[in-house]
Amino acid sequence: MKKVSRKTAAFLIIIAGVMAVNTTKFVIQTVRRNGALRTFAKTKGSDNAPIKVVEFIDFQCPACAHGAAYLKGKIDKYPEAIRLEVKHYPLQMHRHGYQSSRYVECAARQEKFWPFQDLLLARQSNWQRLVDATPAFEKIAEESHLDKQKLKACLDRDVVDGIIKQNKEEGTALGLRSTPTYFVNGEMVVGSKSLEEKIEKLLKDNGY
Amino acid sequence: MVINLFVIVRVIIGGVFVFSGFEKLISPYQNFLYVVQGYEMFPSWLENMAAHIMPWCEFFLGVFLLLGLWLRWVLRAVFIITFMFVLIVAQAIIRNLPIAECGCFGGLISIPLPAILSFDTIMLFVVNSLMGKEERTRILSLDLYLSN
Repeated sequence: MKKVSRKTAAFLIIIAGVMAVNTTKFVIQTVRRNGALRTFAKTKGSDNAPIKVVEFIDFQCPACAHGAAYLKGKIDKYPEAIRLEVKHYPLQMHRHGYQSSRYVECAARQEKFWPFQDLLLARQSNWQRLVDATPAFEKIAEESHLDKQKLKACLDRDVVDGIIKQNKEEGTALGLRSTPTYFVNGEMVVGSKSLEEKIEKLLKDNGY
Repeated sequence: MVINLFVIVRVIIGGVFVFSGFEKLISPYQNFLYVVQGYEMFPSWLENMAAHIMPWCEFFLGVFLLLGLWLRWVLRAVFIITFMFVLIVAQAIIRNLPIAECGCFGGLISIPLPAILSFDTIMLFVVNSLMGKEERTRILSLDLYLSN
């Protein structure tokens, strides 16, 4: 019987490998899509904006602070061009990531999400080094004019944890691994460098 | 029966490459692009190309190494690719880049840079030994059973 050549074997293995990878990828994406949840969002910009950005953020992540500052600058300059939604994705590696998300969520319930988030990220390098960041968050809450009683009541409730958990599950279902991860017009973009390239291109494409 | 250490090592290294490539391939490629960007070594177009191509290279080099197909060339390619990893990780350590973990195995295993530099350096020497003892590494490989 004639032996199979190494070239033929290599070709068949490559075909089988590509099929195995693509089938696994398809199955995972299908399961993830079915598992994706609708959650509450914190939004900014026009609903009719041609550039829609969903941002999954860990408030202790330095790259997230950089990306948020970039987006803020762009939305301030082109408010009709970009619509931003912010979702929580606190990482375990950041000790204050989860707690800062809880404060942010409670600020959102008093309609003070943006001022609180802006101050929180601007001072990230100060509070991220603290063992207990609660006093720093309380100070930011005060400067953002949050109602203290309402904030305390909110922080005592489990519903805030439920929303953060929902956001995180949604992100994980979409294939998130690190922060900041953005979905720009539905396309996944990871990191502020890729975000800036994408936004600049879309702004140019839309005549801004 | 004598256990052939060269074959065992060949299979283990092949497995590591398959695992590493497969994990990246089934995740959105943007996750690996972010890892590549963290090393701040290449222009954007090359980062994009590497994020698309490198996981496929790792995966198929691993499969071919496991099966022992085109072994002579695959060993050389694995040596070159591992040498590249050593250079990339070393420059990140020297430049003190803020990279918490190497990103070599996607999100499944988190390994800090000094640890992966040691691992890759050891692997470089091991692959070099496999190349030096190619005949012994070739045992239980497809190359022995297939025609040219």
